[in-house]
Amino acid sequence: MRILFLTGSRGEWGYIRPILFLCKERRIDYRICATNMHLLTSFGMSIEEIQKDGFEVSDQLYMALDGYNHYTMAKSMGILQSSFVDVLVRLKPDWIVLAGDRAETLVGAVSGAYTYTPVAHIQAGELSGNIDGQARHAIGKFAHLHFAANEDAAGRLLRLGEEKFRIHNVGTPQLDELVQGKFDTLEELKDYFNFAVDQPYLMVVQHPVTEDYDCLEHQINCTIKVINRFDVNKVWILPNNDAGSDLVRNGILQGRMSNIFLHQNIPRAKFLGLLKHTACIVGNSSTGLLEAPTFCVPAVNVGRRQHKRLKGKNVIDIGEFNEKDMATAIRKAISPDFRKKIKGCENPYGDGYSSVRILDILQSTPINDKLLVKRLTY
Amino acid sequence: MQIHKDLEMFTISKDATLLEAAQQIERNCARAVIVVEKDKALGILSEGDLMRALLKGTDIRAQVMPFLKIAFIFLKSVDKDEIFRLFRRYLVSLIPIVDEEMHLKGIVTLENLFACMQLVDEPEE
Repeated sequence: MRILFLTGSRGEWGYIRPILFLCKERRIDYRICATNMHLLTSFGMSIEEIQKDGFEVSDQLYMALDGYNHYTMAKSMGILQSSFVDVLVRLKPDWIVLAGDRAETLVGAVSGAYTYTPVAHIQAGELSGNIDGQARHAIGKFAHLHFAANEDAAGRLLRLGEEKFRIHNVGTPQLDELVQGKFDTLEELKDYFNFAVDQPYLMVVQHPVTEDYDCLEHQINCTIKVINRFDVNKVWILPNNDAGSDLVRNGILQGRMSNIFLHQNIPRAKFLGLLKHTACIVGNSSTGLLEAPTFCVPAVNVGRRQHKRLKGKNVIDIGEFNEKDMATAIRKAISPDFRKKIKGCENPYGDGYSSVRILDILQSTPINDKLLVKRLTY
Repeated sequence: MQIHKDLEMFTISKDATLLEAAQQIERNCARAVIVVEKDKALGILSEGDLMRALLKGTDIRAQVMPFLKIAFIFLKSVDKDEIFRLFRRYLVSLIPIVDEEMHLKGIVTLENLFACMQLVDEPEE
């Protein structure tokens, strides 16, 4: 069996890496097609992280056009589509595995569907804000198997007209490494980072939201002003290359103070280690919703990027970027009372044993007309 | 400890090209250059960063900003021991001294470090 994994950013690399380790263990023929941000220096060249993890990347497809605006994003998708189909012609995989809701994921799903190559989608059926939310729904129509992280997502797929046998509630695989302890210890973090990781610090991860392109500067300045109110160190991980990312990067560089430590692309084990020990994660990253609950870490989620997504007890939601609400939320999040309240909190996205479930299903699902010819249930 | 206060040859603007960065590195002999905007330190471009960019086929007239190291090591005061520890740990070739708002106040190079070090007598066997 040959499985082709498509990955475009460090975000969803976290979803598929534990499955790839398992593929190695089970001696399954895996191929990795890396595209988009993995290949961009200005986004940390995260393909190097994939290679350092011991995986061979069989295809590197450049797709990202300079400009990082809506038009270049849309055009980039066309570039990937053509190249990716050529990869399918050459490799003829039994499965295409993709994760999340990014533009390249949608392109991969469409390519698979039109070439009758089985597509398995991880983190299927969720709601997210942004154009990515629409993409995730659309991917659901093209994918042949859906790996949902919880009943809420599984239920949504059913209501969207997907046949029951295609939907599997397996949890989210990026939790597997948290549960397996594959993250840096405090000592290893102390060695790597040039700030006191054993003292309280805030973690900030803030991506540009495609619909809020015009308010990006305001959002960044708001966050900077708010975190400056807290006399602790902050570590800010820089954003994806969505439309507006240049503005975000420049905004942060200009507004940055000496106790805000910027990092572009931290290896996942270090990112998870930082998450485990932070007083609070602030911003609009899915990390606050998906991974933080496993560590019972408070998350202040701002704006619409994770709008309507299932949230655990650790998340304090702020609808808009405004200084007063954000500051109040962070103050609450870092309070001993809140920490006590969320101690032992459950993670609505799974228990950390998803990779085994996913690979078992892939290995046991027959590839036949029933799988490839989709019947919508209404 | 003496540090560099004349910063002109250690800095370039954020609109500069890799070529201008290379020229500045050649002048300052410190193997790196600090990218600034209105004397605020944005990041560092080292000889190594430059070389890696060129090895990947980047045109030498490309802008520096995509290649900048933003997670650079800096200090807020001239602390000899801390400077020594940072050079040893991170193997950088220069360390900017900045204020609270990341405005550049001075630069410590390896040259500065070695100027205030001396050999300790070897203990007899």
